[in-house]
Amino acid sequence: MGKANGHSTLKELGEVITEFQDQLFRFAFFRTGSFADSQDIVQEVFIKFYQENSHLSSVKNIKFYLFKSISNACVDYHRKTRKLKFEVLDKLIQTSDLQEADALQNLIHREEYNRIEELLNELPNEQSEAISLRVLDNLSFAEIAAILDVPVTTVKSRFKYGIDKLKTKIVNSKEVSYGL
Amino acid sequence: MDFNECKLEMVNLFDKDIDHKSLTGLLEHIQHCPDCANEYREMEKILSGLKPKTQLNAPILLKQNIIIQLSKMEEMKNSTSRTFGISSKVRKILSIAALLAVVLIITPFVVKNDAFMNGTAKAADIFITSSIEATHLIKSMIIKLKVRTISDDSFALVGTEYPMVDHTIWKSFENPVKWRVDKGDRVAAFDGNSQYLWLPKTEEGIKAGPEINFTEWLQILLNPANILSQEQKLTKERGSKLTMNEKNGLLNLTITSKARGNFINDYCKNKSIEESDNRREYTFDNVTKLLKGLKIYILDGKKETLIVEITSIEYDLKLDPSRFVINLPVGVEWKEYNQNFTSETFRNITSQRVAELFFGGMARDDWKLVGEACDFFSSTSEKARSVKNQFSGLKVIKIGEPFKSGLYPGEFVPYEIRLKTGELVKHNLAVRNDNPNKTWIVDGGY
Repeated sequence: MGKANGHSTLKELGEVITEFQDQLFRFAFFRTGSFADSQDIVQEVFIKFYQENSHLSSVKNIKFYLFKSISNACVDYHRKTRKLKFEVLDKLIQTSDLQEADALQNLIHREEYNRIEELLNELPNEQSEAISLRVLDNLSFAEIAAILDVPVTTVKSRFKYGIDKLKTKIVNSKEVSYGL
Repeated sequence: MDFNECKLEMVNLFDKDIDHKSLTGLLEHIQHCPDCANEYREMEKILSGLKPKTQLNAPILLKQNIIIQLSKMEEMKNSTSRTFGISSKVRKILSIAALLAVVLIITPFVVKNDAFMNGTAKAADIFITSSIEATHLIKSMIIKLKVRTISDDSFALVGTEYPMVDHTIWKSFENPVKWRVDKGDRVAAFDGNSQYLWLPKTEEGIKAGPEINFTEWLQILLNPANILSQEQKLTKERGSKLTMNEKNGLLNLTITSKARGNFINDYCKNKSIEESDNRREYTFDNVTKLLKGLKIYILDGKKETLIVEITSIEYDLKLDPSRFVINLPVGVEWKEYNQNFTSETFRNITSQRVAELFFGGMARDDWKLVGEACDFFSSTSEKARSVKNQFSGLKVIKIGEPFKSGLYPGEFVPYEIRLKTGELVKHNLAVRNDNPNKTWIVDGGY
């Protein structure tokens, strides 16, 4: 019966989801600025992952596969929607189907991510990407290199230059702390 | 490590996968070099400022939604193939099964499809999806239940006047999935490839592919996760009442539904779950989210009769593989399940005429003709011979006006016959022609 029966493979998928869902959701959220769209993207990626791989354990690097898929899906998302990364908060809350407490919590998350995005917006895309993948998504430089399809040394350089630029910006604006 | 090397390599301190040698070398240098130490602290401060103060996690239902969606897709795929070649009686039973379990989402869930879900619906949704997920993690289960039915009749038959009959369900969820459902005088099993139905009283062994549903409404208990999602869809089309409460670590869900079907003649009223006004009481373990119990009551005015009761459910027990194999007695062989009825005699006639031909054949010992309408009489087994002998030489007293009842896709033909023993038999012959050839077959009632 195998996959047709669904049980053992869905169980296997459940374990993969448990392991990566938070990371992937954060990854998608930082690239879309929308809870609902991030949820859809992650959901679709997992479903496609399950449907396209009859043996999940045979996928060589599941983490890479999933991050790469989310990354591609986010690129498609921006191509299709041409949405601003973070929508007007009021609008998002109105359209949310979450309860009040959840909405408040999500507002806090969104403000926090807005703050970080403002900082990274100062940097060239390549540098902000390297930093956000390392800091927000907690990927190693090697993993980032695989996803971006560039050498590890390039990732490290982008990361370092990005940090240096942020440092300069902070010194110039005399903002010693970013709300810490 | 010197100053220049440290400047060059310092970025590695912010990697997850830094090797021990680099780490030691860098830290040792930083300890003794104020410039590098300062540089390191500044970088660390910048990165700390970039870390979110609140940790964003995936929505609680994300995983469950994915599992449910895939379950639905698989269920749709399976039901598409299952529909082929299944009699509508079986399809009816499938829908009974579907009704049985989970009208749990019910109206509040549907009504609040927009904007904010209300608390009860959301709680029910979360619980049900958790339960589906939990079901996907179990390896095996044994369910013991009692059903008011007849031990050798179909798995769908229930009746308030019948005794409680013990049923046991074994299921192994490990690949390949296997199960066995046993109600004493009717046993169905699936060995991972084929389904088997064993009817010891008539010594009939029928073999079919996985697409056929031998377990009828009990299938709901074999596939709780799939049925849960299927019922979500069904409840959008039907009005049912749901109540939910928690007590002593158990979550109790009660669903009350009205009978479905045509009851101008109430012959089928209360003969199956779906054809009855009923109340279904589910109990879930609030910690494991797994089903702990089920009671179904048939409601008739102020009277309510317990019709189904799960007496125990055990999960993740080791099951003997031989449990999923049915051994036939010597001389009995598996017969392939066949829905390709080709008799020309039983085409393009009325159901009343079917009954006349059927009993007429018995009266004349024309077992070839009788066998065209009811395959059992084609058999040469000892049991078949015994039943033929019982009906042989009967006298037809009366064949009445056919009627329809409940959800049965065929018709019932009232009859009176006198057996050669002198016994008078009055009953309704169940006949149907809902097959591709529109050939009438006798489904029961003799």
